[in-house]
Amino acid sequence: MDERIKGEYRKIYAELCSIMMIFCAGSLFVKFFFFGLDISACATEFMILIAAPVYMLVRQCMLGISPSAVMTKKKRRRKVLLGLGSGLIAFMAVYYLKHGALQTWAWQYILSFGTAFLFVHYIGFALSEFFSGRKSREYEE
Amino acid sequence: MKNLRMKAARAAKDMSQGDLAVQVDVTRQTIGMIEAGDYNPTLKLCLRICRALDKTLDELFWEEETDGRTD
Repeated sequence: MDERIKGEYRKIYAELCSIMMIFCAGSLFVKFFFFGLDISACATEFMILIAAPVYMLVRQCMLGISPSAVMTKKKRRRKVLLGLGSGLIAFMAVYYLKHGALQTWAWQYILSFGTAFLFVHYIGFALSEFFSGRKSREYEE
Repeated sequence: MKNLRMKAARAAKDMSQGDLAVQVDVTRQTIGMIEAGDYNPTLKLCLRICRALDKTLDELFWEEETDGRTD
């Protein structure tokens, strides 16, 4: 197959993936806020939103690539903080709309989410660095 | 930047864009885009084009550097 067309198809698939993720998040939002459905009714969206980054991490490790090769430490840190911040804001907004002001036990969720988010990010990064290093050593002279 | 050297080499061999495309296993549009400078082919494709036109990589794709930029 023509390499240019193959490349263009890859681009289209990547865009499609991003669009689908946005639609998933949108669907979650609409189901939760507009239809007042329970979180269990949004299981598919949750699965997709959680499974997609996990798949990405697994493929990253398999191919031996690491985000540190394409992103500076500063940019990576900003991306993590942005993810953490938007996750927390989303959680607080959902909580506030469902239960009103934040209660003490809600902070436990926030703290657990923050810790889990940072932990998963750190583990993911460490794993991809490890496999990337192994791949580099494989091709060393 | 347009790749006029490739266009000239193809014309010298009396080949159409379609003929070259068939020989290097890409579409005619891709050859057109390479000649127009709108697509950067991979090294593999460059080599296939060079072989098809009996030219070297330098002759078809090398760009001289001028003031820190390529022509």
